[in-house]
Amino acid sequence: MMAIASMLRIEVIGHRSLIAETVTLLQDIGVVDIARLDVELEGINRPALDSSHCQELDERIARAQFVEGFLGRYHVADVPFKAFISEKIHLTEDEYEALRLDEGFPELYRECEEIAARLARIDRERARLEDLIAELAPWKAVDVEISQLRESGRVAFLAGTVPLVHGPRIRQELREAAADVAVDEAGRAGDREAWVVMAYQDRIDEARSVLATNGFEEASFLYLKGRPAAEIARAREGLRNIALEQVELTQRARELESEYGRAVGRVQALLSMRDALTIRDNFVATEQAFALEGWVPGRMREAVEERLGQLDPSFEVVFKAPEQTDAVPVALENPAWLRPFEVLTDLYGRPRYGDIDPTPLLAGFFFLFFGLCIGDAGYGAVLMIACYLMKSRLDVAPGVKRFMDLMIAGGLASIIIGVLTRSYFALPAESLPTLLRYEPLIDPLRDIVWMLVASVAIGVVHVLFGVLVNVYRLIKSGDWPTAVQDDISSLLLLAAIAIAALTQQAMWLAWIGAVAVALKGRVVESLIARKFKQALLGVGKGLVGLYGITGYLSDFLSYTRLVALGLASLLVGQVMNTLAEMVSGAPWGIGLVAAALILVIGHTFNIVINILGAFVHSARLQFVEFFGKFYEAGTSNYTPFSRRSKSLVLHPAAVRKEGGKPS
Amino acid sequence: MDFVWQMSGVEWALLGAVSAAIGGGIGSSIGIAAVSGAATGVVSEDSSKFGRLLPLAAMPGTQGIYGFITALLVFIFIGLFEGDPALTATEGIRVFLSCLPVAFVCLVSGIYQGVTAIGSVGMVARRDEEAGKALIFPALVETYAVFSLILSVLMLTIVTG
Repeated sequence: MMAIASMLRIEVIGHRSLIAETVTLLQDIGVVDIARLDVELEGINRPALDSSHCQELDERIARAQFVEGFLGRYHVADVPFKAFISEKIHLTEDEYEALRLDEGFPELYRECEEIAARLARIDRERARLEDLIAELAPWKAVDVEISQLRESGRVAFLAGTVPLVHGPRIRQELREAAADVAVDEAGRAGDREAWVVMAYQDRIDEARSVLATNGFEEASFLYLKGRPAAEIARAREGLRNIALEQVELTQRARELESEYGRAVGRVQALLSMRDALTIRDNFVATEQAFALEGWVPGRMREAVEERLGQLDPSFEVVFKAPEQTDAVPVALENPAWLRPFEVLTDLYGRPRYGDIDPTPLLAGFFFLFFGLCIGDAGYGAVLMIACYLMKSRLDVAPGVKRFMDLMIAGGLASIIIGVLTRSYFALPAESLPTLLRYEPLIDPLRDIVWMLVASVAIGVVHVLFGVLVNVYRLIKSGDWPTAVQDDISSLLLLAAIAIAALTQQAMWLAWIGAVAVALKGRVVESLIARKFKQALLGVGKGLVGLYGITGYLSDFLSYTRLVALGLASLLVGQVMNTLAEMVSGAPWGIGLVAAALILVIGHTFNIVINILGAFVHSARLQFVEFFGKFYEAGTSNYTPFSRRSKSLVLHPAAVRKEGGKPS
Repeated sequence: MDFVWQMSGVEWALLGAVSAAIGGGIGSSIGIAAVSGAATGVVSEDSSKFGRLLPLAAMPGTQGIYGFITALLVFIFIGLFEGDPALTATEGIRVFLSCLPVAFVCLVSGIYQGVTAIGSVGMVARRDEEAGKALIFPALVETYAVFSLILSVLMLTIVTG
């Protein structure tokens, strides 16, 4: 049952001159999870990183990321369901390695940078011209050159707009505040009116202060020379020109987009190079030697040893079994049929090294729960076929493939439950072929109460199984007292309740309950030690512990959700069938088309929404009700030091494909 | 108020059915709108997260379905599809009361599931590898909508014999 991969600590000591080759080799092997080695002795330090090299690499990464982001804006992923499925870029390992050399990249970067800068300038210019046209709109009818609106000799001008509704009041205030002020209305646009206010130089400040308090916005186009209408025409001409330039630049960017795949690969290759530098910070070194430490799965021991030996026979390579206090990274190793269920373990968090992998324990229950939530053979078959097609025909990541396998298992469970409840696309018996008109084992609509009782019974089994797993863990680790006090006493009490309920005799509950209280409060232990006061306190503690049993009852009830979700799936499906039947009678074939649409869209919606519910609630029952009894996640996942390949598929052979499905 | 005393059993039953459908529908609408507002913000920054956020946005939709199912069960149990059902006012009020758990709990839980899912959207925005974990928290809120559905279904089963 132990499905946690056995790990070994690896310690490597070698000549300092071989650090770079060793790092490259470890990155190629991709199985050593490198840990930080701490040795505090005089003369021992970290292998120094060449800071100028790191800086130069960071600059190259920044440039590569810029190109990736820029070309990504013009890249259209060639994958179906691209909103849900990330595109994969296929490169050979040789191509990937070649990307580190930056061949041809500086020219590409310069061109991308130039196009991006010109496009940004175009955006700014467009915004400026559009604002100018909007601002000039009220002045369109003014048959005077804008240059004449600037001050001339003794007379000063103020050109701008005021709120239309306040026009009369502002005029009145201007007249009161300054003598010899003239206001010329130039035009209107929206809720504002364009004014040219004229006053002698020595009066203009008074006019300005009145206008400032009344929402006057001074014109910003006074640097222009021509008539407003001519300037608007010029601005429109400018907009046309930059639009043409933008089309040209976009066209050029689209041509460069063919480099997108390599740009993605280049970023990953350069990040891998930086990893190869920064990983050294986990090593220690003297003037002559260096040492590193990490973790490898036990089965990889010979391969790693052999490869390191090939690099330099003088390497000192030591493998050790982990000690109790070590923080060992965890890898799961399950048979192929269980691997899809690792999705759930990873979702919650992997176990500590040496603890139990919950994957085999939850698999059967998740399978059953998912089946109960969907509960329809037709839906199960659709789910299996759809997930199989996605997994086999689309270029999806290994993690997505594993999830698809989980959904295929869920589909199979739904078929089994659907057959038992005679549920095929929620169709009534009379609409089914003769072969399928058998008497169902259980009718979810007719036997709701029975179903609810069955779901609670499943909950009892699941929760108590979790408690028993914890008893096993505690006993295995030698912690008998906790196993008895926490879990065995609770199991006794639950058994007492069950026996009392079945026999209708409270005597059982009283006697077994008393034993359970004594165990919970460690009363016997205190009496043997002649600690009578502590024994008395233990009785109280045990009684308080009794209250904790209510938590189990709410856990059991939580499983009734399986019936509710199954019922929801069935009833919505029935509604779709009824609606389709209602419209199918319409003449000229319209009815049949409408019915087919309702069936396809309606059942698809029902399947999708119920898959979401089935997955989430089946997972929740594992995480809350089941894991809560025995499981503690709390470790780091095994993440071997390797080359980065996010969004990439690296092929050892010289085969190159980009996105889409593999041929 | 006289019309209340004069309501027939079928009218009480229908009032229960529409209460469940309306409560669940409103809860889901508000919940989905709340999550979608947050999700669209994230997607506008990073469209690759759309697929991961869609399940979160869809999650508060189930309360509306529960309300709809309850209404449907009322129609089935009182025999509305088989013609004109005969229901006394007392029987109708019992059906109406059976619908109240879903009507109220789905209204509230739909809204709060949306609120919880907004936090999950933030979680996916920052760490999209945690999209799976982000689904679990809003699911905890839905528990009570599920319980209300079970209670309503049980009550309907009992009161309609």
